[in-house]
Amino acid sequence: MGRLTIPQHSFPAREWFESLREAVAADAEMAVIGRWCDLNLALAIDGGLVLLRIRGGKLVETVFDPDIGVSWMVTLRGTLDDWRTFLQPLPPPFYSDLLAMNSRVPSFGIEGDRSAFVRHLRPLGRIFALAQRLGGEHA
Amino acid sequence: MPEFDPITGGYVYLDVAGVRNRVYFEEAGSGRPLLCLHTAGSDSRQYRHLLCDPEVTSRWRVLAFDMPYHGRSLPPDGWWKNEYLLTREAYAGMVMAFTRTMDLRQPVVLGCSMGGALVLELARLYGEEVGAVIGLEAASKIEGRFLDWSVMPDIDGSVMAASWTYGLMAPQSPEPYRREAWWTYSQGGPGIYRGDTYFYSVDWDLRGREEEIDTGRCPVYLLTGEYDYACTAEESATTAAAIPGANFTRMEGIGHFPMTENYPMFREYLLPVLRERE
Repeated sequence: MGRLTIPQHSFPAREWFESLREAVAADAEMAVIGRWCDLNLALAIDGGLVLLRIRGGKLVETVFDPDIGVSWMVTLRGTLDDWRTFLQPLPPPFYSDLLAMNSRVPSFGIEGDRSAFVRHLRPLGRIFALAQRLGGEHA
Repeated sequence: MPEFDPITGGYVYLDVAGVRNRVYFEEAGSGRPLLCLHTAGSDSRQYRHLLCDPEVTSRWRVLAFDMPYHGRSLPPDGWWKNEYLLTREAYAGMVMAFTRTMDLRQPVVLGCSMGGALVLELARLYGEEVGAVIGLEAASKIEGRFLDWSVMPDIDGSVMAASWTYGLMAPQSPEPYRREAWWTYSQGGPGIYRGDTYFYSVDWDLRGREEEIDTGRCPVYLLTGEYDYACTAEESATTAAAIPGANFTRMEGIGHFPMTENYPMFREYLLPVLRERE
């Protein structure tokens, strides 16, 4: 994410993803529903990529700008503004949900193996609800 | 002393297009009939808050029924041999059969999402019998909702339908009620949510025919939550503008399931409409 000046704890800084990892690991609901969730998921943010490796419903690894030797199944692509608008406890209409943004925000899309995305919709919904509670912007 | 809700339930037999259906319904209150239609893939439990609102039930006989294949209404015999795809004709026929069999005179029909679409069709075709319609989250055409995900063999369709629709609600709606909507959606039969969306996303299309609705005969009210991304408030406003005399209200801080996700907020929009129709 070298092209962007990101405050240390704001999305998509490394520390932000560490906070998300901790929130997911500590979440009681994810302990119930996440056990069967294994997915490599990429977040495309403007020109950058962040790969999340999810195993058993936990974020086991975060890879920034993965090289050509790395694969994943699903990409969530949006601008930094899209992501920061989404990553709030109370986002505005059409930014409160990944499927809402996919439908109504032209710059946002769910790409790749969409069947895998739908299979994991419930735990992914919870992970991103926790991400919204974290918020995306911090001084 | 045990605590009871003021709701009573029952079963009624409806013969529609030569098929006998055992249909479950709930009701509360007395007065002019207010018939409530549930959303795609769900059932009449969505209206439990409305059915328990004394400000409504003191003036209205509120009824809600489960469409066949939904809730406690079993599918008709032979269901396993047919792909479930709800059509405009079958849906309107079922609602009018319920209305006539229950002898509801000039009911106000309130429907949400697919029910909201249907009430527009009722106003167009049965305006003499229907006293007024209230469409929630309704527009002349809702595109892109008929999808196969919920019937894919490698996808849990019940969880998919529940999680797919969860994001249609406003994030500020109370979490227990949003979770309740998720729960009831997770209990839909296989392929039923998909088959319901066939009605309003494929089969039915009011575009270009809005002027056929005579609001002098059957008043039309459309109310849509600002967080609904399946049927946007702008789309409902466009439909209302095309129906001469129709009323439209944008509901702030509400999503696709107003009566379920945030009834206290929704009733602030609904009660003025009901007062007009008392």
